Amino acid sequence: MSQQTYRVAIVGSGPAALYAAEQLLEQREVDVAIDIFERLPTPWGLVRAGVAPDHPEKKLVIDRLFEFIFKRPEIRFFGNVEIGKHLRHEELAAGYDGVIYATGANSDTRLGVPGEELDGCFSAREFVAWYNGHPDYSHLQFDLSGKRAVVVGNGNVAIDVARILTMPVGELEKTDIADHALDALRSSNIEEVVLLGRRGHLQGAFNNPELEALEHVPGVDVIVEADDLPEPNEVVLDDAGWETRRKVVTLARFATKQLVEGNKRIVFRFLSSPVELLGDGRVEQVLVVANHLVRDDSGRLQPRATEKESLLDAGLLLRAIGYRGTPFPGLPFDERLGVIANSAGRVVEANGVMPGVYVSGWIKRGAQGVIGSNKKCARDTVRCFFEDIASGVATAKNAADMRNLIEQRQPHVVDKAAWHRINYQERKLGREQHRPRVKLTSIDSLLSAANG
Amino acid sequence: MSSVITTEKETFCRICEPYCPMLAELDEQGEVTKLKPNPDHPCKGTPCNKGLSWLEVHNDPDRLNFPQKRRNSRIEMQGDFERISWEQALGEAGEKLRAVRDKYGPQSIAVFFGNPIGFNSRPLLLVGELIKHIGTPMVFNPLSQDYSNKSYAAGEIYGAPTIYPAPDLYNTDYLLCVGGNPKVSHWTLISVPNDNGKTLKNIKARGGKVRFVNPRKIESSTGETGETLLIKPGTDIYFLAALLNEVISKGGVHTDLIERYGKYSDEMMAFAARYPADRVAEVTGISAETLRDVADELLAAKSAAVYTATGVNQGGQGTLAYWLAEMINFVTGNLGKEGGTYLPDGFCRVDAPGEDITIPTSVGPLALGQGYNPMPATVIPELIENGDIRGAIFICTNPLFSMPAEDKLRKAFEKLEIMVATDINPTDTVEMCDYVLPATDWLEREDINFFCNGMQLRPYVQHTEIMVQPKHERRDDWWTICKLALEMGPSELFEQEIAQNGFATFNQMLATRDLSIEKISAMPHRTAMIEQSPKELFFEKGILHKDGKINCYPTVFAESGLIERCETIFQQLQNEPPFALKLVSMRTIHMHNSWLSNMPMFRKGILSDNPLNICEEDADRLGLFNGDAIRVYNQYGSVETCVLINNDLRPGAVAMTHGFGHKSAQRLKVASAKPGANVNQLMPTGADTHEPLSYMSWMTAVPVEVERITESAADTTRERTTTAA
Repeated sequence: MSQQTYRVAIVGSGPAALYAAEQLLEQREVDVAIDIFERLPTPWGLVRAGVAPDHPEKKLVIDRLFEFIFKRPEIRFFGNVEIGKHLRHEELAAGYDGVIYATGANSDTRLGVPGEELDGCFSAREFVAWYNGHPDYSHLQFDLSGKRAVVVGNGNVAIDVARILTMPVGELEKTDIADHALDALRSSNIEEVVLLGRRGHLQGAFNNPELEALEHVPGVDVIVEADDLPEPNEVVLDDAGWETRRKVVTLARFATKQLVEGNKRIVFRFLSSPVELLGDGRVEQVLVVANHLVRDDSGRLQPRATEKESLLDAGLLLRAIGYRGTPFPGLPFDERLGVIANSAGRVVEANGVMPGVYVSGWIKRGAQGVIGSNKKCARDTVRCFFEDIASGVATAKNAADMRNLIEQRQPHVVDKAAWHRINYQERKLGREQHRPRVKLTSIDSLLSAANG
Repeated sequence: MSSVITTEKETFCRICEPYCPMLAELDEQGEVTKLKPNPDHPCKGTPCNKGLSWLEVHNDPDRLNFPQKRRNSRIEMQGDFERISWEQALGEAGEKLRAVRDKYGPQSIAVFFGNPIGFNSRPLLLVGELIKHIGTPMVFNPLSQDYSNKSYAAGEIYGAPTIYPAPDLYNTDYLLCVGGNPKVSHWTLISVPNDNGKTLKNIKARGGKVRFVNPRKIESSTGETGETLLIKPGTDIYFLAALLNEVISKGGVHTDLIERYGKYSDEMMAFAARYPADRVAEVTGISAETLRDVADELLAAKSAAVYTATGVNQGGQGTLAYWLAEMINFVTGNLGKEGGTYLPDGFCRVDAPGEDITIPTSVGPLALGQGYNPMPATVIPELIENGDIRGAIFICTNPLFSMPAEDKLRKAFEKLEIMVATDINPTDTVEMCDYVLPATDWLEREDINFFCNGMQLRPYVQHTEIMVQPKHERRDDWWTICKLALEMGPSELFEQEIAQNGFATFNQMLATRDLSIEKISAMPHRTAMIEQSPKELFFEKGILHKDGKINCYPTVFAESGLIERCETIFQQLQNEPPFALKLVSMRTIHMHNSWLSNMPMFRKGILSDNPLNICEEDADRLGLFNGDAIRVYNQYGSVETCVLINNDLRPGAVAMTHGFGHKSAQRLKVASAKPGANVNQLMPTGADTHEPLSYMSWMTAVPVEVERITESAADTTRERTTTAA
């Protein structure tokens, strides 16, 4: 009568994890029970710790989708449990028919220039995690006493941090930005953020909505340092897609806009790379080289340094040139791509496929794409799992429920009920201040709220 | 993938009133591969996402395919069914139904039919014949949850329960739309080719005005259409009375029309005078000034129409509200007028005067109102518990969800001696039945757009052939009805219908316009457009009272206590505590009664649940946050759901959607995995809760309380405990 229930562990609780859970539960023919393991006491991954606080509409996916997957009775939540610390991968693999790693990208690409070790040089990833109240980053101190910050990179993250650094604090006070970030930003002296893009206007990695949103930030002028900005109908744009054309139109609008006295500034400087960070113990100046573009063997336009160098005064440098995954104990790692080595979602070690072990999201395909990109990614991975249980490849060795072992190893598990208490606490504080929530930003305060 | 060669066939959607024209793409094997709009159809309607997604219902692997017999007692929630032959199913069901009839009399067999029958021409006609053939007055159907107030009032005002003057949306200069959300619900009791709200936008675009009256800023209400007056739930009647009173005091009454076509108008005006704008403002939440503005706008417009919809019908006083709306249209000279309201022509209007057919029952005398309305749904549990009803036939209906009080109904159904159902799905009601007969869906049957006959703003009759042959042993409901009827005794009528493919009666009706099924099916688009006669002819065709007069004050309203009840409720509302919450019904673009609950695409994320919509102000007061697990309860029942902050609602109004809650329909895998809350658990039940005369169930503006479920309790009950596999 009752069919077999397959047990799946998902490591991580961000979009990649939730979409994987949804795909597992959508299958009518197969019953699954899912345990979600999360290193932090809080779910939602980068939707909580990455999405900029002044863009709450991007977090609606929690209210509209993730919450409803998360509360399905087939899912248990083991928050504050770290795989590799409280449980080993081998234990997980033995206890579940399938293990899906959806751990995202915990590291980032370094600049590889002299002076990168100086104080005042951070990754944008750390800065984002800090202002979003990620407990691992709450202790960081960002010196905002200088007048200028430099952001290296031209993606959406670069735009996010530039906006947060310049927009009126009064606007941020309505958001769920971390209180420590609000305090720091209130006393910030930063008047200008320069975004360095190593390639040109046509190659900016940001998306149109993010770029266009800059137009509506009160008290901020956007400056495009561009003598060579192509006209929208110029030949150089002939082989550009509509998205690029739209970006160029927006940039051209910025370039011709009247500046307002007293406004803060976001400056786009294209075809520029940092070559050295200078300062006495901490970043004071950035040596920037101008680039030109050359076509490489594959036909892609690549930046090449010219002789032209300039110095920028800056007290803060944030690198935003890409996230990378980190190696996971017990699993093969692809150093080049910064992902767990896999073939279309099945983890692959030297001797071949590791049966019943899968990846989804950034740790599978690298740090690219938006929240929704994880849906197809998860569908593909979960399809592998269903094929593998059908063929008998994926199967648990142990029949026992893992719960007792988990609770032995980590007495402070945050389950769904405990997360609800944290969530309630944060929103209650938020309502008092007319904010969506006030984030608890340390493990201690989160666990204290979890205990009610 | 199947073959690339496709053919296209014209058909039409059968989910709601517009019957949107469609094209079905078929592959070489005769399978429908796609449903899409049919832009060439002369009615110009376009199907919505529900209709275009119907293949998910058609191809649903959980559908019923074979006749089945329940082997275990229906006290056990989960049915144990065995497949049997049609012959055995009909034979055994017939034998048991006859035994009940012979022992307890024909009135002991109840016939339930559902909203899908409204969109299935042949059984819609033949179910009435089945009821007559059995000889039972115990008839239950969606009217008592939908619009039996209108049919009852229409019988009194105009002399027949089918006279619903339609707003002339294509020509009107002013539309007052009360309790309706046409962009989502696609109108009710009028059939308007769906154009995604363009009809409404056009009113404004041509210099007219649209006003919505609703406790929620509805999807229909935009800058391009018109704003919503946020009325307190359940108070439309007082708004309409005050509006009529303003119209009268502003001298907006066409006395010549009243003298010529009306009677008892003084009494009607005296009633309205009891509810002046200043008196009702507090109760309705709409200021006297705004109400006077509405009256001024209405009187200044070259033509105007007051239209009331389901939100008014279900609010507990729908009969009087509909009467007042009709009176406003009449006295302002907008009835029977271009741009006002009028009687749409059909291929054959079947308007006949009816009379209440009263029988004694254990809960007192009950009547089939106007010889047209059903018995009250609110007393079904008592009628079964007391032995009035011993057996039941369910034709495409899921009363456990569509009628109030699922738990009480379920307990009562357990006591029935025989339950027989025909349906496409193993719904919760079907799961209780002794005999389950598999039906066809609308792609598997021949049909005409009958229910909208006489309600269309662009009248036409369309025929569709079968798109795809019924799979397995599914049979059309009309055939099953004929077969069940013949089990109950010989009948020439049913023999003839079987011989004529169920269209015998339709062919007689069509012959009045020199049409037939055969002729229509040979026409372009299988469609015969019907010419609309002049709208002024309403006064000749739309009044069926012998004296030819509109009854402006039916004496039965006072005799039945409706008039006095209206004042009593008014005083209760005046004395209500300030923060009383009222639950209103809310239709979405993803759910249609319970039809679509097993469609994976409509049950993702937030659609997997039936959250309580509540505005921030009320949520704040109650300490509730988005997503919180809550219990919604009142004296009638209790459901668990979650919070969805929705500031389109006015304070005091909370909203849920009906059609959820399939927890016992285990064979509907998607629906039972994501049941959501059955909001009808909260709907008043018992003889004192329905509206007198119309028997309308009270389904909206129902008082509720809301409380958070403590997290730990919610979580422990919801979290599974994994056992060793």
